Amino acid sequence: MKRPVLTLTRSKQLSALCWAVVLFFGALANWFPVKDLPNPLRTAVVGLLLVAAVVIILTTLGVWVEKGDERSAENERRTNSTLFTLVFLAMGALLVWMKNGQTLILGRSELLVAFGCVCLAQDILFLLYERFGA
Amino acid sequence: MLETKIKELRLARGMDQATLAALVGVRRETIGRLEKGQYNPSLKLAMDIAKVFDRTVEEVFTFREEP
Repeated sequence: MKRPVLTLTRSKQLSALCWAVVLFFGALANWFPVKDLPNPLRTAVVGLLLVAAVVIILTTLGVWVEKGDERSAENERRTNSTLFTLVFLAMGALLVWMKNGQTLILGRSELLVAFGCVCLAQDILFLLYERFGA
Repeated sequence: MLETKIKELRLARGMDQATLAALVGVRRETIGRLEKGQYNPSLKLAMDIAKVFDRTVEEVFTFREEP
């Protein structure tokens, strides 16, 4: 039987790293837009982001990743539960912080950063449960 | 606290963690956690592991009262 290339833990670590890369450049783009970078640097950044995107897609789809088991299923459940609680608390904090009549507008890049934060948090939480959970 | 004889039984059969993991359908890391007593298996997994070693569940897993 052919063994998968990546363990589940390793795939989550890779995914977390790639999301961190996406978030780093996403946040950096606020001060240094990619289109204003010199060509070689722009090519390198775009190339790195493309590689990160491919790795994220492959690890999310579970390509070449070992199959999960009862322990990973339980850790996945705990991760999603904790993540929901955190998002719930963040939304509550936002409701308290925002004044009446105030609107929240998220541009495409901000939405990508927000989505990336949730995905990165999910990977990190899963890895923490794998490492320290019973 | 859960104590197991998995490592002892596994080594007596010259088996590595990956082989045992494949036999019972879990990841190698899960076997590692089980051996260290850091994971409580489901009843099915406990029975599958006991079956591999041709033992009863009670012979492989014991619960020790914490002081």
